[in-house]
Amino acid sequence: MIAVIDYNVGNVSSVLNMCRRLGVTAQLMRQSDKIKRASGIILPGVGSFRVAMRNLTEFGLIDILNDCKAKGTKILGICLGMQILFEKGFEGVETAGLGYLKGNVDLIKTTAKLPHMGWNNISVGDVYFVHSYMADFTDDCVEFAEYGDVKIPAIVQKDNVMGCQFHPEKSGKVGEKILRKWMANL
Amino acid sequence: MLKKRIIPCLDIANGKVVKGVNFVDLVDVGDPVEVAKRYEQQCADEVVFLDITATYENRDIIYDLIRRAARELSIPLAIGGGIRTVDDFRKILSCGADKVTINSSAVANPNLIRKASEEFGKQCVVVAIDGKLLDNQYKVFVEGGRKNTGLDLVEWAKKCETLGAGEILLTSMDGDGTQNGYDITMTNAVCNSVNIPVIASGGCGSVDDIIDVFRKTNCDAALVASLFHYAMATVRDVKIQMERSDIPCRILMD
Repeated sequence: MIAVIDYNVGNVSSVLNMCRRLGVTAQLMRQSDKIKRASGIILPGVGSFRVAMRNLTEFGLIDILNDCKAKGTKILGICLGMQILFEKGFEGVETAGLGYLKGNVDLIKTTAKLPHMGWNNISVGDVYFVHSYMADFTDDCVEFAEYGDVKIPAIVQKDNVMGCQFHPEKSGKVGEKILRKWMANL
Repeated sequence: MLKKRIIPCLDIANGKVVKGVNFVDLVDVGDPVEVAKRYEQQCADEVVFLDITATYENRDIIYDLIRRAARELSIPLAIGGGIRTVDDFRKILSCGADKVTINSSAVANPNLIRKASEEFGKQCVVVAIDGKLLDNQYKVFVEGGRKNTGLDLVEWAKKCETLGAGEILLTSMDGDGTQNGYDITMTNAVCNSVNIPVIASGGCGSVDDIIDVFRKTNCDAALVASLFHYAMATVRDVKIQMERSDIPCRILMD
């Protein structure tokens, strides 16, 4: 059972729909005992860094996530859910993130249009991005996309924590493949 | 590199595709979800459902449709038609749509752009603008091109960006339905004044028209309706031609 964390940050139904299409059991969860039993955790998310962290705090989810991370449960953050895996966000105000990955999240520094919206290529194919903020490019970055003159971290990974800046659940067959690979290792 | 998007647009009335859609091997498919799935298989980058009836009684039909479409599609889905409030946004997004397109309600109440953008993020707020040339000036029209709002097209587009629109869907009312090609001048006028993605729409009659709008403007996507619906070309045909023309696009790999 995969726990899709329910913390009021946008469209979670697309993540649940994708799990259903892949034949994987997933459930929207906010309760600690259920989340702790999950074989994998997906942190979805669209919206602002500050609101995401505020909601996780209010719903008492941060300790649970920390526990799961510590005991080795696989965690996948998608879009904003990936960004909050980092140490700090600078969307509006400086906000502390979960700190599972080193680095910060800030506005994409480019003269190109923002949001960075649409299909962009990583090594395995084209995937769908929509975001204006990005994570620092660090050693944990395993895939990146080029936008204007910027290299945007697209997949980050360290130990049992992985993040996708793009939306695998909206990225057709390529996105399915990436999710299948993550799920196969649960 | 970011790819130029091809977005099929389906006009929907009472939960069915208006006039039906013809595929080479199948005539008159009425279910929007079936049509959208076909377009996804042909490598459409996104799909728009435009509810042209959009009356209060029909809302449940469209919500049901969005839920079904969201279950089946793994590409982004945008919904337009009759959206007036932040609550309408919430309902449509909670059914599984990724973007909401507003047009006349944005003109009547520009604050809706700001409110929706603050509440749900600008990525899901698409402002559709219908432009028309009048005495050598581009003006914003509503009600399907019947009513002149008096607003200057470029000024309105800039205002939408400032208010928090994530994208602009720009339709040329002069071109719409003519199949004479996209309005290059109008598209350029808007693309050159905003720094958010612009979808060109209205007038597409051939694959060449799509190539043309990508070559001659800085638009990010092209909205296509009858060319696909009447099976004059498939999305795949367009992508092949785009690739030959060195326009960055997403090609489906099997």
